[in-house]
Amino acid sequence: MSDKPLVLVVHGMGRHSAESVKRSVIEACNYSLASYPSWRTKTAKKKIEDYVEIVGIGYDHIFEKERASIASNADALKSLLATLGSFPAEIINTLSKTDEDNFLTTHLLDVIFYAATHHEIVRLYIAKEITKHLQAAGTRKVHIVGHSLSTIVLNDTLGKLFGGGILDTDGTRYRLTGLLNQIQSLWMFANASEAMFKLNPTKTTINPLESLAKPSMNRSTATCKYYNVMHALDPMRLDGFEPRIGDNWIPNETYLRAYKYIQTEHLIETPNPHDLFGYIIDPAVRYRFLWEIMPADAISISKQERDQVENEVVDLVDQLRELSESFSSISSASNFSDWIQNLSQFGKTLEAMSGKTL
Amino acid sequence: MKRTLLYALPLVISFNTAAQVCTTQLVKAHWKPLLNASLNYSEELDKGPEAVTQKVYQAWLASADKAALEVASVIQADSIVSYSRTYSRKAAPFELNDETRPKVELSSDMDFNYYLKFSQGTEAPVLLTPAFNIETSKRIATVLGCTFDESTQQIQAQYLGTWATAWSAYTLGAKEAEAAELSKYLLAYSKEWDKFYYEARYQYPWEKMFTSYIYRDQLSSTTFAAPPNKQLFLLRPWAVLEYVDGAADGSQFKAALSLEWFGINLWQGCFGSNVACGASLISTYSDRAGLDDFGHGLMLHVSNKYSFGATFRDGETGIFVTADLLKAITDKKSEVKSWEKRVDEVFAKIKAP
Repeated sequence: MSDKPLVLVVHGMGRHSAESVKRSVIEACNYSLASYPSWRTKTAKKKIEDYVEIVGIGYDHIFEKERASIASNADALKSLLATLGSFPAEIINTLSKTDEDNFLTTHLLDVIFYAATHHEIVRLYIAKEITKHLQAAGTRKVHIVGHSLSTIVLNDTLGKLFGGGILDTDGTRYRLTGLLNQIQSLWMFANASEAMFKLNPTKTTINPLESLAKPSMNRSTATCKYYNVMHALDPMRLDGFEPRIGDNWIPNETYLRAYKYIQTEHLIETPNPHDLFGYIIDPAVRYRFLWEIMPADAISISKQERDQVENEVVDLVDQLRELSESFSSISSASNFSDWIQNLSQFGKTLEAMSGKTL
Repeated sequence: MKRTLLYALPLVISFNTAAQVCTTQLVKAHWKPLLNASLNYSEELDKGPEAVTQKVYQAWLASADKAALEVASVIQADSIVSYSRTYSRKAAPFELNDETRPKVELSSDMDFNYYLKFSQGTEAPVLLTPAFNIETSKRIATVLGCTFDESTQQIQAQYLGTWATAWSAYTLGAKEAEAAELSKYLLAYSKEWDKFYYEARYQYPWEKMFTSYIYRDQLSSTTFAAPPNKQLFLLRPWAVLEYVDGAADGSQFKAALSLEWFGINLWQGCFGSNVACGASLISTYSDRAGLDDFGHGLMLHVSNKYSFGATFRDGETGIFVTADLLKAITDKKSEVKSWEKRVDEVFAKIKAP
């Protein structure tokens, strides 16, 4: 059995598979490793896969099934209503197109499904996957990576897994305890849990300040360490989760030792500030991420070399000024509808810029 | 402190005869005896504290004590010995329950500094920051019996981390049992939600949304929620086949557009049975000669599939029936036609004198 540290990557929104999100993290890690001259010199052929097992977890199949079901039922109803003449069937027409692929149906609909209709079944699926891996992990360290929508899913799922768990009818509670099953680190890229909690009109998610998806020194929560990473141009930043020391979220000592908020500002290989690959290869993240998930002592890059690599980064932000300004103009949302519109605007801008469907 | 170094000396001498490169494998092999002792103890703890033999428990204690002496000498921290001794005694079979047993971990802070953490339950842990320097590396190389070189400097955290993991491995059985137990319940709840979505009466997205809002307290709590036992319906369009006896000949039996204003369905069963049932307030619309086009009434649902009811207009009563087509053709649009044909056949028989 492998004794490599285990990294569970839970996919965000859009048509991603467990495999594609896993590849994204592997490629980002290998890109980052290769950026350090000393790493290239000493361990030229070593890849992240030689040190760490990265596992993708996707839940898109749940949403795909629902999209197909909505479209199929709407088509059936349209067929029946055709016999009734001119029925104002705009809503049915819209529903019947739910299985077509565009930014609305593949990205935004995921957010709406999770917020309003398929919350608990997604959480239970992710909970089963996480629990299965923790059970089999033995002495291996386990890290979890969330991105975009999956930060909301993880906030809720870990909050329930390590919180109340499942309460049996006889009063017995089954749950994971941090004492036995605490994960080593939780990485939340483009953390949207706060926005969802505040703006979701159906109120089906857990307040991130109250969720046990937070760090602790005494193993009383889901994770030992918590990294909260947000790009300065990411639309999620506006209502992002950003607890401060003294907020009573966690004790101050834990905040200083086990919590890190990182704001990234670069656009390096992609113009998309919401891209997971882009997040990981950001100079403010890349070494810290590798150092955290790789076995102790597997990587040691001097501060001087790290700084040098950061200085040599070719940043696209200046070349993409128009794009940057467009992202900057997205304003904070006061309700769920505004938020979805913001995300839609973001998607359209990126599509226009990259000339391809996201 | 110097006393601990003396204790560790024979160990150092015994390992110093070989000369090989310091590797991860060497570190793991070095702590294998402690890990095995821990796992043996874990295996017996799994069967309950009364199943633990003194031999196995004492073997783990002896390994833990011996290892602590070595670690204390390597990182020049006497306190390791006393902490290891204190916490390992708290790990006695009957001392604490599975969750609260002590552990040792090597953790790190946000400035890339390692620290050792002795903890028990959720009590405030004891934190020790080891001094990582060349001298420490040399001592590690000595106890591992490998050659000190530049690469050895990068093996300090691994040496301590593997020791801590091996020390704490006696809790592995409890860790796995906790996850295994929960897994069964997670699976059972998942299956219930699958039934809610795909076996209960079909709900439009806004109906699911409405149901979620009504049950928001359970869904947003920190305990996993089973699916609600009631489905709620709101502004739900569909088509029914309606017979109005008082309508003009030729327009008595017609397809009608229906709209459920509000409804409820006990999808898992009602009145103590496992047969689902529910009801909705409904209006129907159809263009009928001699009567109001709109009728209002009540629709009843049975078995998550079939619905029927009565409407009233201009003093005339209409009856309607529909299997839940939405449900019946969820996966195959092509079945719509064959279903319509079957319904036509049934109604043709009903209409026949």
